[in-house]
Amino acid sequence: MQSNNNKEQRFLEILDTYKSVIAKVCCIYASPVADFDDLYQETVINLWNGFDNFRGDAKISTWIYRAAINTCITWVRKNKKHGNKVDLAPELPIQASESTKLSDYKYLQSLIARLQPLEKAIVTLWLDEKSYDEIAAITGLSHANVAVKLHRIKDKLSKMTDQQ
Amino acid sequence: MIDLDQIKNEWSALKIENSTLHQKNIELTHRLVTERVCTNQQRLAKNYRMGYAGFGFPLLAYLMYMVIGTPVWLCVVYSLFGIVIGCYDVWYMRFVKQTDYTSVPTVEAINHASKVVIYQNRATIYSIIGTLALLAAMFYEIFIISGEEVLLGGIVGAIVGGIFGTIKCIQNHRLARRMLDEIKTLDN
Repeated sequence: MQSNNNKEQRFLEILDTYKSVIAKVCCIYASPVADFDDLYQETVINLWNGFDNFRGDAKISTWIYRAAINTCITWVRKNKKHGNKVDLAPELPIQASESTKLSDYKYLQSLIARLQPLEKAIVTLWLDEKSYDEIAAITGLSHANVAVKLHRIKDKLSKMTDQQ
Repeated sequence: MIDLDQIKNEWSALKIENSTLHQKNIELTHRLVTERVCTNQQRLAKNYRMGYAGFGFPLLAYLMYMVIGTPVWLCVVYSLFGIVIGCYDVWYMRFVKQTDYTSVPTVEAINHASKVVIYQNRATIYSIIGTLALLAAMFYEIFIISGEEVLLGGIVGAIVGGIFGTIKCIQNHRLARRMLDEIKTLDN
């Protein structure tokens, strides 16, 4: 019982420290057919299940990012009826700083929503100022591959904005 | 036109609304400690626990032999079919569960999730073909040995079992398909 309480406490501390990271990733992958709440909950459950096996050989932030991204990418949708797929970012609990335009963020989010799942992961990590090596460690791609993909993603995003 | 580098600088300043998340974390963590909460991956694996029933087919085959005189060759085929299905389902259940998505890189997670769907599709096709062939042979033998009444009972049982099996199969397929719904092949 004592060790369960300790585990619960330690897990909650880590979860609270990194809740913004998990939420940002879930925001990126959330869609009309993948609820933010479902993705967040599934990520937390995966983290709990992997908590005992986490030996600290990777940084905690790497572990958290990996869990969140992998969970969102392999997410199984529930049986909801929906019409044609719509690439709109859902309304999510984001507060912008005074210098950041919320409209800019939401516009960027709507563009990222149209990327492939792995591309979303790479661009999210890049936006969170992860180095190419960290992105490579989380995604399993090589350093060179990350650089090439990121360049293509930025190109894609630029083209999307040009078309609008 | 959006300035990506400028947005990147301001990205870290964005705050997710924190008070709700903190409360959500407390509730979720407490549920994880006190209840058995499953991921979709674990739920999919659990559906294949039914495969253990396949190891009971030899006993059923023995009963069929003793009660209605089913030919030995058919009992052997029936038993083997159950054992093969049972082995596959148990293997698949462990395969689905084996990957801890918190410890593997994303590319590996995608590969695993892809294989979950591919193996499931293959198993469905092979088991449908095998089941239809086996049922046809069984019904033929039952009709010869025992006449129409027993055959009728067998057909009713097959239809009921087929309906339940089909529903379960569709559910499992949907679950696995959605694991990959957004994933396409990696760019080179």
